[in-house]
Amino acid sequence: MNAPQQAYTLKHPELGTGPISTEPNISPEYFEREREQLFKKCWLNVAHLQEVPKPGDYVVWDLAVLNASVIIVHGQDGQIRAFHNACTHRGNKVAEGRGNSKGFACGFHGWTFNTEGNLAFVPDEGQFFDLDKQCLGLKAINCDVWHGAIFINMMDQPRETLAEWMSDYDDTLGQFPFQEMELMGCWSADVGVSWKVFVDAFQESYHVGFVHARSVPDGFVTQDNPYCHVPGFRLFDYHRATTCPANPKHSLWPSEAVAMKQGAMSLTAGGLTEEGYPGTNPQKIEDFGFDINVIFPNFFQDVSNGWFFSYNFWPTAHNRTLWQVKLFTLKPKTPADLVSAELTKVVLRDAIREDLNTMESTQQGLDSRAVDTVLFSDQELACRHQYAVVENFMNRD
Amino acid sequence: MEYTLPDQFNEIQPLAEEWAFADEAARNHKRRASSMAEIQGFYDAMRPQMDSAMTYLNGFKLADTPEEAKTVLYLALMFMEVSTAVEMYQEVDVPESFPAERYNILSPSADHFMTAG
Ligand code: FES
Ligand SMILES: [Fe+2]
Repeated sequence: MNAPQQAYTLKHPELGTGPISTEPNISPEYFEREREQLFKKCWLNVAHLQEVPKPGDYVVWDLAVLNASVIIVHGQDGQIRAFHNACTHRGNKVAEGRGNSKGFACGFHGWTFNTEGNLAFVPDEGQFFDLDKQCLGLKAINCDVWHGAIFINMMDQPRETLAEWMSDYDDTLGQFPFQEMELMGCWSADVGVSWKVFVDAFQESYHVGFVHARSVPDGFVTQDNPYCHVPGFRLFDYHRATTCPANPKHSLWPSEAVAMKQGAMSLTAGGLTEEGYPGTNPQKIEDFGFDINVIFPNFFQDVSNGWFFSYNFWPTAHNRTLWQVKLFTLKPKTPADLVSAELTKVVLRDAIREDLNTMESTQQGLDSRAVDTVLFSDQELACRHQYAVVENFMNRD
Repeated sequence: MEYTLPDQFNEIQPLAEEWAFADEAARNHKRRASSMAEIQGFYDAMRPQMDSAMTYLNGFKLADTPEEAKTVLYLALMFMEVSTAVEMYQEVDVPESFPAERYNILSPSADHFMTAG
């Protein structure tokens, strides 16, 4: 579909149509405000349930933007919890990486915590004064799960529950059959770019005909829709969503034909299935590719027929971001299913390397202050929305 | 490791020693360490075998995959790995892209799916 000109932005007069300052992407001071007023107050996705499926499974994340190291652990009692990775004896980290364990033994003096965070053992305990082990468990962080996605919130009393925070997505993303999917691919990179510039690169399709001219030449861009126009935006208070179209007449490459015969939905073939997956394509467009669901501030869950992928953007400085993508496809039953999923994996992985290629050069352009504003077209409304809602969130209360 | 394929895949038996890997990172490394002619040679040899390979691999539940089928699987995965080089880019690696050395591949190994209970 080809969008009418300038159809969407004017419906959101509060967002304006003017240029947007580059300051939020180049200013260390602005980033410090984001750290305190945004990241330390927001629900943040830190892992997927499938990364810690069994009791004892844990994963540790050093999150520079929170000035914290966080343990996410599947307790022996079945509950998912998050803790500060800091020993209550003298502060040392008690875990690193990922794995499965009955508990966490601090390497410094051997204090041991169980998977529910309780202090279970203190060597030479009799030498301590007034030791109350009950009160010396690992410091808990608010943690909750939304359809398999594990979130934390650093506030003592989060302003809303995770369910409330995600409720804008109840009738779309919340209906997606996440439980039928399995983690198949995971990639990461440390990129010299502002987290918001990075997010912008994945929430507009204006770039598709240029950045991806070689990888998906007829997958998304058609003669009817040469600029890969999106069919509209769903702008929420903080989150936002749009739908990336695909080319229903896309001719399959040989490898893609093999993969699809096995039932995999190719990355570019969203619209080729007769019945869409629940929770996808809310506008029921015929040239459906996939939905881009941005979960404010730094998490995506992009869904289509038979697969979804997530992005996490973790800033480490105003112009540096640790990024991770995870691809989930239908649970494989036979080895042939792995082959089928591999095509989706490789196409996505390679196409994203094209996206990432523009990031550091964009940041260098902004850091040079050669331009002090950027321009967003009607088709880049999601990007315009981002700068407004980051500021709104930091000013709320 | 033994790389013996079932008889029906005699034609691709010579590829097994060099191109069969369980891990995506190893497959991607092999792709980037190969010339385009080597990649094209592998792709051309595999392509006519892919349909029968898929039919064959569909005959097993993941947890019961025999050793000789694993080698067929690894080669078929490698076919998908090089497919973008051959079918899209006509170059070994993605042109005009973020450096491969800085792009970490953390995907679960194929073996993970065949052993996970
Ligand atoms: S700091 Fe952990 S046991 Fe001493
Ligand atoms: Fe892209």
